[in-house]
Amino acid sequence: MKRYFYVLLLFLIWITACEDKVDLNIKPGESQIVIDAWVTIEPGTKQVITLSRTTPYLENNPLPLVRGAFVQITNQTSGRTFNFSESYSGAYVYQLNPNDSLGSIGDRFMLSVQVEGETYQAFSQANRVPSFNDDSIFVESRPQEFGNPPGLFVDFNVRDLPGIGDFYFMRTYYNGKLRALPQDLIVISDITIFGRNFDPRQDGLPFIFPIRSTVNRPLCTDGCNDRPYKVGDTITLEILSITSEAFDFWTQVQTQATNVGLLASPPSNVPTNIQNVNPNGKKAVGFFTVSAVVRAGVRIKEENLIIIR
Amino acid sequence: MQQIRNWFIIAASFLSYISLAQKYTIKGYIKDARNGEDLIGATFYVPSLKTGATTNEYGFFSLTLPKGTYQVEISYIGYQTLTQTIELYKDITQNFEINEDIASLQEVEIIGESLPEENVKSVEMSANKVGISTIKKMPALLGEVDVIRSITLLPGVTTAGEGAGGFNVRGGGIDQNLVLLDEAPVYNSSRLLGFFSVFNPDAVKDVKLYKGAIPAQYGGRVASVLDVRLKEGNMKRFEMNGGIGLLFSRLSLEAPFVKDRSSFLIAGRRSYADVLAKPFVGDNPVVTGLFFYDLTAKANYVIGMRDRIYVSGYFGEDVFNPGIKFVTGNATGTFRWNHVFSNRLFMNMTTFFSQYNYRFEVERGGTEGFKWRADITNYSGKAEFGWFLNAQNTVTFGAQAIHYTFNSGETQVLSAGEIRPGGLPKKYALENALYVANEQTVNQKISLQYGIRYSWYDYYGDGTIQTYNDTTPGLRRTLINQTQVPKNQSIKQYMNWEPRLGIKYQLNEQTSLKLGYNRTAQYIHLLSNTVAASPLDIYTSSNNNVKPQIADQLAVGYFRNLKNNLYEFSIETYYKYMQNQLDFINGANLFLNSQIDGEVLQGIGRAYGLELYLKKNAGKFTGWTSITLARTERKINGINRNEWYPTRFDKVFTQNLTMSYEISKQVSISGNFVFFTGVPGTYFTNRYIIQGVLIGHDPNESRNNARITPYHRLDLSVALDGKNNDKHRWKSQWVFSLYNVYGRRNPFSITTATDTRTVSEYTFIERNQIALAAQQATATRLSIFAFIIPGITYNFKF
Repeated sequence: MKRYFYVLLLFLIWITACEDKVDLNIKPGESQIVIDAWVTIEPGTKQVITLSRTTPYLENNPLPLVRGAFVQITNQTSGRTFNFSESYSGAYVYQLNPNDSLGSIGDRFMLSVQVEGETYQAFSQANRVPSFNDDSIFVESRPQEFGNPPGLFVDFNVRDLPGIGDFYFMRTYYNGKLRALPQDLIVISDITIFGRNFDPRQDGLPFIFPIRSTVNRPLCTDGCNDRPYKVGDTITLEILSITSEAFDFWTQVQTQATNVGLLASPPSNVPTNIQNVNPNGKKAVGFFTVSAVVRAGVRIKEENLIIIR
Repeated sequence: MQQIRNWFIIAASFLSYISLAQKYTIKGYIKDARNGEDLIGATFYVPSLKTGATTNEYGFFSLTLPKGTYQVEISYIGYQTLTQTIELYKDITQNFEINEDIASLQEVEIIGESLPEENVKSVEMSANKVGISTIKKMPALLGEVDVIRSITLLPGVTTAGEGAGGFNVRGGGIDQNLVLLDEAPVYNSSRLLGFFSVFNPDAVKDVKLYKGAIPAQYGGRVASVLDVRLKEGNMKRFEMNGGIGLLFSRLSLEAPFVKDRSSFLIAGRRSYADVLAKPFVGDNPVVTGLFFYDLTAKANYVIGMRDRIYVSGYFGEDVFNPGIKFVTGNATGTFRWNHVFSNRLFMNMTTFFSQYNYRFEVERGGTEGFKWRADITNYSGKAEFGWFLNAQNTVTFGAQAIHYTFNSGETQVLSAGEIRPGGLPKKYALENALYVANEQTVNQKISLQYGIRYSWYDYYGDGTIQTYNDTTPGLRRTLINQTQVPKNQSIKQYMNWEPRLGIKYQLNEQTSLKLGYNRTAQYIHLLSNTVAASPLDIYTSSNNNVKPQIADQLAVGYFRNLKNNLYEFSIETYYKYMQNQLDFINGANLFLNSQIDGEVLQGIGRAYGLELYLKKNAGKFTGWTSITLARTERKINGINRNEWYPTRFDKVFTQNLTMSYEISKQVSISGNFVFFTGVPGTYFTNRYIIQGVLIGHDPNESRNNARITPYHRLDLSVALDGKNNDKHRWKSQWVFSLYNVYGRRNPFSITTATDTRTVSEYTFIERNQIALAAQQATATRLSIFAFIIPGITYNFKF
């Protein structure tokens, strides 16, 4: 919504406005532990959790990694524990056997990290995901519309599960590479992006069109308009279930990372679900999420096109 | 209520005692001789008694004097003073017409152009009246004269930046200004996203801004009142005004229906970038889908000596339709009836309608779409009485009721051919007020203006009473209970006494000291969590969770005129304390949220400042300069570690200079210079990376912790008038303007974000590996008008 409006603003002022890179002199705050723990319940996968430290905002250097930590996930529903081992610097890994997984949909999980004399905990749940397979995804040849050029676009058919309060994270792989820019993070609440307390009357529909269309960005470095694909491209789409806390986290990350211009919000810290068991201990940042995943893909061939108009 | 009545009886009996001597009343209207427009604030003065009266908002005055023959002076800023002999041996009604132009004056003696002395003589302070002719002289952005851009050059008035929409008065938010167009509130006075305002300069008669010492007849907003009055329409002959500019064109027509009895005005504007660009860009909807238009209309009818009615309205929309359609629109309508009950009692009855609506629509192929609409709608009735008791006392009293309907967003989803309505339920409220005020001249030195306003607000059903837990300030509060309330049943009521006071102490003919105090209450709030207000921000009602805003302001001023009122000078200082100021939790979700109260935080605010103002009123060289030193801060639990923080529009030092020089009868040049301290912004101090995405962080949770660089800008314009002789009614004018003459790249904001331009290819090969690679964060300065902006306008008049 705000983003669309921003496009309008940009247009109105493009002749006269300009953006320059400038130097800011900001005194950095105290460095903190960062826990990046997003795992899935997909069987046979390698799950990775990374530990690093916060650095001064405008110093564009790699983050310092944190070694020697004890990292464990407990499936609180089954009671099973998974001890992650440090495989390479700062990355703590658990390799599951081909038919083994962290748990199943509905299970509750606890993350426990002991590092630098502090113990951190976080909780998550593996929520449900809609059904999704290769038949759900299709390619259309579209005319020029919404300021987008004509060409080949991907659309898909996914219906939100009945009942409000389903939160999803959607990501695409373009020829095997994950699109991971902030603009590519698509977080969905039931069928739209409009956050909390969704109207139950609109529940259970397919995701609305502007959301589905966000998968059409082979490159997204110049404002992220939809762009057509070409014959031979492979597009893979993943839908991950997330908790409502993770929805807030990713919505705010996305807002912050694209927060420029007239309609920018005052920058504010994004939430974290990582708690120090000692309330007076050093605080950490980051997020722990357990997701269920569904995945579907399409390789664009001349014969599988649907021609619109 | 009982208290008010008792007070009234005492006051009335006391005042009737004073007026026992044999006295008669002169009453009437003071008008512009050229077009019959009523003049607001014109003076009827009796030099021998050193007493007088000023006309009210409808041009009416009434003055009661001992019987006798008097020389009287009728004057108004920029007009020739008229001197006339009045034989007051019975009550008389007489209208006076005064002239701007020497050539057409007849019969009456000319004593020269009147220069304002109200700033020293009147009890009023913290108020600025800006003539539309002054506004038209100032250099304007793209040559388009604009009321709101002009008032931001007054001391104490600021904006968050170019294109920010709205204005801030003495540290108040943009929703804390009551903007009135012929008495109807305008909820979004910005057009084209804040670069221009809803007021068509050809239709505006009078603009007055109250920054403090707000009279009791105004209420409902805590910071200021901008009272814009439309012209009535020429009562003498047909008149046409218009202009052709780069961005839009204007045309206004006015004429009498019946000479000196009834007239109308109709004025319209439309932008034409969409039409002009079509041959060049073809059907590119990004350009051709953008336009705005508005229409202002008014008619009035003088029924007899005692009655007059007015009907006026405004309708306008901004449309942007590049496939995704945005429309923001305002509409107001006002019906007024003036009635003179007796020599001393004047009544105005007003009913108005006002609506601001905003819509967003996207549709594809008939099977996919999303529609959203929100609006705020008012219906109101108001009765106001002016009781001209005697030369010393003018009592104003009245009552007003405003009905609100809040539609915070209704939606329609169309997905794979299925259509579903949704959104938030409408909310209803009634705001009522009773007020009484007296303007009293105690003696030659002391004048008083005192009054009280009693306001009450009723938020009523159908609706829900939501109860939230209130554990950790700054975190989202969660709903713990919700009760449905049936139709028309009250959910929450608030009442406030709002005292108003003004004192003037005249040191000598040219100098006075003034003091003003007011308490104001505000029951509706704009939910805006962006640095610049967006037209999509939503108004919400006070309820059991969100409390009304209350402000107390005390102002003290020294007013001095120099060289026979040629120059006016003032120093004012103020302190304002505000309760229940709104802010939001981190990452607040204000859009289509049925539990929005859980995102709102309320706290206190304070603003204080010193304003210096020097104005030259007449001569070839006119203009003003002002210097403002000010602070405005908020303290809200959950923000900035619960400590005081400056607001986004906190400008410590502001200097404005606006001047105009008449080189000859045909050529005049004007200039503006603006300088202010950079506004504060919030900046992250640290960073981290999650899933390859760079995230900013401030372990100290500071708000507005750094300032951007100062802003300064010079604008110039030249106006070339065609040969204006009275033989030709067609008069034309070319205006050439330059905005931001030296092309300074003034910062609107400096924001930090991940620099996507540094990423040319997706390097996310193995999950979590890239997470540790360097990502670029850059600080970017956004300048809205980064270059010199020329403008050409052709104005005409017939």
